[in-house]
Amino acid sequence: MEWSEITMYYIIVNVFVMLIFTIVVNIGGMLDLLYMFRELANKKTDEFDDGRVLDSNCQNAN
Amino acid sequence: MTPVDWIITVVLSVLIGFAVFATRKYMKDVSGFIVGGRKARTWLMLSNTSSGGLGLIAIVYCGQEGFLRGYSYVWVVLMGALIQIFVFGIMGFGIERFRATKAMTAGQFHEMRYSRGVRLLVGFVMGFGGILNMTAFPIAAGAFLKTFLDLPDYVSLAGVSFNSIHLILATIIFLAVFFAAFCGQVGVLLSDYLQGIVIMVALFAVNYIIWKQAGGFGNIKLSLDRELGTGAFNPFLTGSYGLLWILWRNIQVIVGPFTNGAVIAKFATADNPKVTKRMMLVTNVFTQGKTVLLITLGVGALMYFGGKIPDGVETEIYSKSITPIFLHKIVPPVLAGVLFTAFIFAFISTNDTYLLAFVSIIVNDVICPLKKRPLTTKGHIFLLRFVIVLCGVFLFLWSVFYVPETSILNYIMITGMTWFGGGIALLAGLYCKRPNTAGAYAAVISSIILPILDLTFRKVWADYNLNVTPAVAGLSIVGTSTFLLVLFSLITRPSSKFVDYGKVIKKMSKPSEK
Repeated sequence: MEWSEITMYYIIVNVFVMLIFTIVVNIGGMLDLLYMFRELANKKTDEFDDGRVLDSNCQNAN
Repeated sequence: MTPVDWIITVVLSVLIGFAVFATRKYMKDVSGFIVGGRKARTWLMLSNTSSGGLGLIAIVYCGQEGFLRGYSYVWVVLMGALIQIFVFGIMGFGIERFRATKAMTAGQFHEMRYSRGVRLLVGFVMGFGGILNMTAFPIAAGAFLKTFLDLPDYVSLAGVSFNSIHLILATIIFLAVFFAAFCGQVGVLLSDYLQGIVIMVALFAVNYIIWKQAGGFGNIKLSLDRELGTGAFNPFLTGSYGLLWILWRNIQVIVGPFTNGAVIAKFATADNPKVTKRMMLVTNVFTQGKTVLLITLGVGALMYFGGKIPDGVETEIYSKSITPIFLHKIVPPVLAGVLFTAFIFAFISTNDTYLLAFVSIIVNDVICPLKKRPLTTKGHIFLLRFVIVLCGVFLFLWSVFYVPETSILNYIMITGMTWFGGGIALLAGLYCKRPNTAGAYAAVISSIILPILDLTFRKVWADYNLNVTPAVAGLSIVGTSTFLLVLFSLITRPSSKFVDYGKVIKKMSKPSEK
C-alpha cells in the first residue's frame, strides 16, 4: 500500500471516530456539568485554598 | 455574510453569554475562580480540552499546513498522540502526581518543592511568557476573520473610519476577557462546552461541503497527488517536515503539558488524579479526527485554487490567507453565520482559558508571594479580574504593533520554549530527590535567555537569512535546559523537600468517579 492510500483510509476512519466521540463527549460533558454545579452549590468556602504554600501543605497532601 | 448570518452570530453569542454569566454564583472563593473548585470530571474535561484545542489559531495553522503539505501533518499529529496515549494516558506520567500535589499552578508546586524564589521566577516566565505566546493568536485570528468576511482595510462606523483588523481584534479580545474575568473557571468550562458544540457542527458541515464538491475521497487523493506529490501524505519527505522538526515536535509532546500553564491549569481543575489520566487517553483519540477536519479546510483551498503561489506574493502570507478566502467562496448563507460564530467561539474558547491560566500564574506566583499579608478572597478575585483586563489591553496593543517573522506554528513553539525550564524542573521535582533549587534556577534562566536570543536574531538579522531552523533552536533550548538542571543539581547541595506523590495518589483516589 502507498502512503496516499493508507492516509486516505486513516482519514475516513478518523472522521467517523470523531463523529461518535463528539456525540459521546457532549452527552457526558452535560452530565459532568450538572455534577459540577451540584457539587459547587454545596461546597464550603475555603479562604486558605488560594494558592499560598503553608507549612502544612505537604502533610495535607500526605 | 447576509443579515440572517449576522442575526445567527448575535443570537448564539448572547445566549451563551447569558448562560455563562449565570454561573457567577458558583464562584465562592479563589479555588472556585481559578480551578472551578476542582470539580471537573472526565467528560467535561474532555469537552473543554477539545474545544480549547480547537482554537482559531489551530484552524489557521492547520489550514496553512493542509494547503502547503496536504494530509502529511496528520501523521505528525498521530505520532505525538501515540506517545501521549502511552506516556500520559496509560502511565499517567507526571500528570497524576501533579494533581496529587493539589497545587493550582506550576509555581505553587515549585515553592513546595524548591523555594519561593523559584516560584517567582517560574511564575514570571510562565505568566508573562504565556501572554507573549498568546499574542500570536489575535494577530492570526484578526487577519483570518477579515479575509473570511472579505472586509476592506478600513470600515466606517458612525462616520468614523476604523482599521477593520483592529476592530475585529478589539471585539474578540473583549469577549475573551469578559468570559475569563467575570465568570472564572466555571464560566470558562461552560462556555467552552457550549462553544465546542457550535464549532463541531460548523466544521462537520463545511467538511461535508468540501468532500461533496471534490466528488469524494478518491478525487481528493488524486488532486493532492497532482498538486503536491507523495509529500502530501508522507511527512518524512524533504519538502514536507523532515526528521529534525518531527523530533522537536515529539519532545514538545512529552514535556509540553508540564511547560504550558494553561494545560497545567486543566490538570489542577480535575476532580482527582485519575481524571487527568483518562482525559489524556481519550482526548488523543479525539484529537486525530479534529486535525483531519481542520486540515481538510486547507486541502479544499488547495484543490479549489491550485497550489501555485502567485508571482510577487510570499508563500507564508498566501498560505495563511487562502483558507478563509476559499471558505468565503464556498460556504452558503446561514452556514456562513454558524461558521463565523464558530470562528469567534474558537478564538474565545482558547483565549479565555489561556487568559485565566496565565493571569492566575501572574497573580498567584508573582504578585501574591511578594505581599507580606495574604489578600482577602474578595481582594484576590478582584486582582485576578483586574490583571485579566490589563492583559487583554496588552494583547490588543501588541497585536496591533508587532509582526512575527516566522510561521505561526513555529512562533508559538519558540515562545512556548521560554516555559520549558519550569516544566522540566517540575517534572524532575515530582519524581527525583536530587534536583534542587540551583538546578531549577539554571534550567529556568537558560530557557528564558535562549528563545529571546533566537527571536531577537530573527528580527534583527531577518535580511541575512540565518540558517538556524526553529526546530534546531528548539532542540538546543531543550538540551541546554535539561543539561543545566542535572549539572547544577549534581554540583550543589541536594534538596530535602521531596515528597513521594506516588503514594499520595493511592490515598487520593475518590469513589465519586466511577
